[in-house]
Amino acid sequence: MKILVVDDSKVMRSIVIRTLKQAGFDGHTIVEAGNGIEALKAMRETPPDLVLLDWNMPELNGIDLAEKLKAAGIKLRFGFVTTESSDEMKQRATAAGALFMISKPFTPESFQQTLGPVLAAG
Amino acid sequence: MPTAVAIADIAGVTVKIWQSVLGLELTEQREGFQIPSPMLLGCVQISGAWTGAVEIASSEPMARSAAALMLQLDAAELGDGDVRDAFGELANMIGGNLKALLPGPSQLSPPVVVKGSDFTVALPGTTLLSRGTFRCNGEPVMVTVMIRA
Repeated sequence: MKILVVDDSKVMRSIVIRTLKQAGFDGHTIVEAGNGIEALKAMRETPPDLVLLDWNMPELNGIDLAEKLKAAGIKLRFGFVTTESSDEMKQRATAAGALFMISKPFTPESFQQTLGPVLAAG
Repeated sequence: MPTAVAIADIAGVTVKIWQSVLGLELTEQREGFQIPSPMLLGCVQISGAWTGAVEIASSEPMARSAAALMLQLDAAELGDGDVRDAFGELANMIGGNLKALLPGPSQLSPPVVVKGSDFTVALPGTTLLSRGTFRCNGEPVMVTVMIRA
């Protein structure tokens, strides 16, 4: 599977990718993008099977990207990896089609628990 | 919903993040706290139902060690950009987790990180709400919550 990791922090992308491997999801192709605009470009080049999105990013943030894609009728399997955890943000994420929200800081166990069923369904 | 953040809340969030992200112990230090130069300061602003900011400050060696752990690289291999990026992410996580304790809905800004000596950061219209001071492997860490009146 191709997994697209989108976060404006190179450090955080590195932690997400490492945690994916620690959670046992190391057989997949991982692609990185630094914001929503780069993510759109990466998606056009090779559509990902799963997208892990940060919420707050410059240029085009994660939730705006998700809502744009939904409005355009583009189906995407994605979820958020974010510090944003308020009820209204969870509702907005769900309305945009997010399959999950993983809170920062996270652990390999939280990745396993949340992403295991998502990747198995892929 | 509380409008204030207590020192215990700051301690709870910061200790949790230091432990889970860095694998390091953080202990509170109330007396004789100082951050030597050069220091790093990371700030995120919160706006909405609650408005203010969360700042994290530490010594450069602490920030560099944190970045090395987050990137799983040798501290000597890291550029300034890597250290600032990592410190910004720590500010983001601490700010985001403290924001969850405050009235919503509100937005978290991207982090801003400053490194230098003998500087202060002013957030006009805000006052100090609460501050936690800590030590990690002998290095200082300070988390401050500012509230906009």
